[in-house]
Amino acid sequence: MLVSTHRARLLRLVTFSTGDQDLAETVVQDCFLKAYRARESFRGDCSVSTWLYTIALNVMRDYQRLQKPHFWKSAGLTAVDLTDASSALASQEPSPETRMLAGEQANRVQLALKSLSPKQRIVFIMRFLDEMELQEISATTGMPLSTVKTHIRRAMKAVRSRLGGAQ
Amino acid sequence: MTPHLTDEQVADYLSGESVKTTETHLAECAACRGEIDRLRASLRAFDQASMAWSEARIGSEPVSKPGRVFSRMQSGWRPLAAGTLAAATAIVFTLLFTVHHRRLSADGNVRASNISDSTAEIERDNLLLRAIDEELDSLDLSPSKMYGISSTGDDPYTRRRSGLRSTP
Repeated sequence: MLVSTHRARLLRLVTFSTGDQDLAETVVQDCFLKAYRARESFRGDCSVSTWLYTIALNVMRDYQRLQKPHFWKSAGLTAVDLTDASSALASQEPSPETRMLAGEQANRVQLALKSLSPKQRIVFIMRFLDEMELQEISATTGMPLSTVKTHIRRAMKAVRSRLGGAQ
Repeated sequence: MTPHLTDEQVADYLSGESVKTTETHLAECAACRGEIDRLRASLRAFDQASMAWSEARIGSEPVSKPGRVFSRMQSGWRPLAAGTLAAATAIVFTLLFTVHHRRLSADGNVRASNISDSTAEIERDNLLLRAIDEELDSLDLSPSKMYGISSTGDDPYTRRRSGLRSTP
């Protein structure tokens, strides 16, 4: 139950922040293995989601130390094909035109993520996709709250610019 | 009307860190409201598409796909699993053989013929070996005689020729 609830979100966070789908699956597996081994130490002073995210970020740091030159793949983000996934929106969007527009919007945000730094990607996904509170992001990533806000502002500026809406 | 929202104000507003001046401006500026709505729609589209992709990716994984992590996890019980599989296979074959054997046993003639066939077969083999021996003796094809080597009687050729099968 724990796995099925959180695995998809974790996989998305790691995939779209590292740009490497295969590595992301390994990281997520490692994350759940570490979580299972450390389940006794979970004190409940944060949500399970935050706890798992913290473990996943630590696993990512471990992998980053092992293979730093190849870890963050901004170009690899294009390898994630959201075209098929956009068809999954069929039941949620009323018309083919709206579905097509939603697919284009999703792809443009994905391309915009390429221009962000790894930390900006992580914070952006946590805030705008996983809807985590700023304080929660700060606790999970270990960044000061002011740093989290700065990353969010810069990330949103870059995304907004890529989407063609910056004024 | 106040100037349009800056990137920081837009980011703060979408992050839930809104201030009164931002809300006041949005109340009177359709362009900025449209910009906020457009950004929200893009984020929602990416949220839904990326989540659908992630769920599909998980759903498409083979159930028993062993990754690096699973390889480490399985290393402890892999020999046990292999042993269990071998034991299960042996049990299945034993059961199949037993069922088959009982079916044959139900027919007494079949069982008796199996035993008599075995004894008769050994006897036939021995007769054949003796006939071959006699034939070879009559031809006098011993290598020791052919190449003028004196035979001690215990050379491998002689020993091999005397090896008849014994009945159980």
